[in-house]
Amino acid sequence: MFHSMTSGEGLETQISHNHRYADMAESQLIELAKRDAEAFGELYLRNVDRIYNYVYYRIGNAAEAEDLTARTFHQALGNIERYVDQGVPFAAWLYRIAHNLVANYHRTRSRWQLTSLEDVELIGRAAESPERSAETHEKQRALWSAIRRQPEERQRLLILKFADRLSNDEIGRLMGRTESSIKSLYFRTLKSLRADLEAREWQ
Amino acid sequence: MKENREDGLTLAPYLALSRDLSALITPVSPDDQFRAQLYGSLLDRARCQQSQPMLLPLTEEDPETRIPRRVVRWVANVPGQDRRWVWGAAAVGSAVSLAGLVTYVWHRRGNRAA
Repeated sequence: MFHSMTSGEGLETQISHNHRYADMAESQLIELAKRDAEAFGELYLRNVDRIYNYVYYRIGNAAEAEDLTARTFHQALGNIERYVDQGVPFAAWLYRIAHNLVANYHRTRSRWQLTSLEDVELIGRAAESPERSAETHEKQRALWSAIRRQPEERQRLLILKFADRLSNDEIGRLMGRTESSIKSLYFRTLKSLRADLEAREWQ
Repeated sequence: MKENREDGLTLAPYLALSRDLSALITPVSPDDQFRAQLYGSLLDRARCQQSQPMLLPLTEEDPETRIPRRVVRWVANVPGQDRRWVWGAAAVGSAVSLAGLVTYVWHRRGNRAA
């Protein structure tokens, strides 16, 4: 199963979107979502892509990513009454839920010693052009392996930076860090990745 | 100037790696049908969650407590500080029923002996 490359325009025709919530501030929307289904629906629409991005790149499989994304939002809905707005983006809470589900997913797979096909789909995505050489394919596989060996926090940083295209300041707010801390973490991540690749004779 | 060139040479591998990462990790979107279906299921559940608890089927049991789900949901909707009396009342009711049953059995045994 492949993810959609559309921008979501078709989504509007399938979802009877309540536009009165479209411009509402997040804090107000969260309080409404505790008693209004469509308000929660708006929170979902605002965050589904970023959560899917995170889960997809953490596990590398579209079908499983859909499953975990659905579970993330159902779990959020089940606990929305207990959510307290502390000035942190709502997405930060969703990422925590998604992170726990992804961690359980990996624990279950390692317990059953399942063969990891995680990166096959991701590499297949990146190497869409038939002209890509085998060396490039291998290089990307090596880079994905190196990313997977990084701590979860660094993997999340890379996904937020490149898949979600967030600024360092926005990433910092989601991860509970300052902007300068994120810049520092990013540079340390690059150094670690480069050292890992060099150790395996990739540059 | 020389210092900038040295900095540029030092940073070049990291800039190249950054470009590789940018090409590798690109935005993805979930399938539109999946998005719409999940939206629908979340709204259905939210409406059920927020509706009258007595509408839930009696036979549905909470998997953890084995208590009929509408009872669990009603208790969950009671403010936290009031829940203790709810559970207390349920415990008293159960104790009274049990006491009544024991009394009945004892009485029957007494009649048989007589």
